[in-house]
Amino acid sequence: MTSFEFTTPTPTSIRVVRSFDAPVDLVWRAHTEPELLKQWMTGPPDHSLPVCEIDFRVGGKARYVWKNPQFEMGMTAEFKEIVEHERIVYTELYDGWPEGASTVTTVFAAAGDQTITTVDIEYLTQDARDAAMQPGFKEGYEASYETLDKLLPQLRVGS
Amino acid sequence: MELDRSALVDQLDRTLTALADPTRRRIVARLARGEATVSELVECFELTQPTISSHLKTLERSGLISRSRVAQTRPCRLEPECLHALGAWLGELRSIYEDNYARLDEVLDKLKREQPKR
Repeated sequence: MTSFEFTTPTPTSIRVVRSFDAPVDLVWRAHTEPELLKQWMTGPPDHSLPVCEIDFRVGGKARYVWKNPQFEMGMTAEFKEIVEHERIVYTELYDGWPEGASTVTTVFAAAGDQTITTVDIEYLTQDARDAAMQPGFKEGYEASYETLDKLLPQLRVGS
Repeated sequence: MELDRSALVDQLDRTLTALADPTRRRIVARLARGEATVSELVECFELTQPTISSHLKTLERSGLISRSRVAQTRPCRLEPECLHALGAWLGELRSIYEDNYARLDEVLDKLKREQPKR
């Protein structure tokens, strides 16, 4: 049995938790080796991932291009942190959206015969950063989660 | 990704930025229950009128709320389309992850078969 959870823990972040019936070293390989990534990280229906080039070291870059007959979308990532079999942090930048860098943290955890990955995507908007510096921001966060949950029921899609 | 990602992400950015402030989230939550005038909001949140007005301006720019041009009190109302755009984008992202991971299950099965049992 595998589980899948997709939530919005804060207004500027998304969390995806998934379990896999495989040991952590295989899940890690599938997340880091281009020839394996090309087999599964193909994105929307009818797309493929013909370009997947990874310079897998801190400061190294990765380049991905997804394609279908009408459409092409490229993304460049830069690795910020790599802890083997445990953790990968990178920033990602989609083509044509230079101001929209987000930070993606993937944590790998062994759980019996399974591996659980937790992906946190943090959207870094300048205004959100500025707002986060204001006093009372954190306190407000706590109180507001419940409000947001009620307000955005379509976002509570964890299964 | 058939959707115009940059336009959607632009909208998402504006929506999330507007919602990044706790007072603005409370205002949005209040307006989810129905229209309100500035003076009603001032009373409701015990904040000064300039503070409320400044938050309303940000919310209006983000498209999350609109203000009536007709009535003199210019009541504010929630515009749910923004939230729907956010929901649609997140729904698309969610299904991309689900599909990717279903394929990853197959890749992992293959790798397990190739790897000698430990």
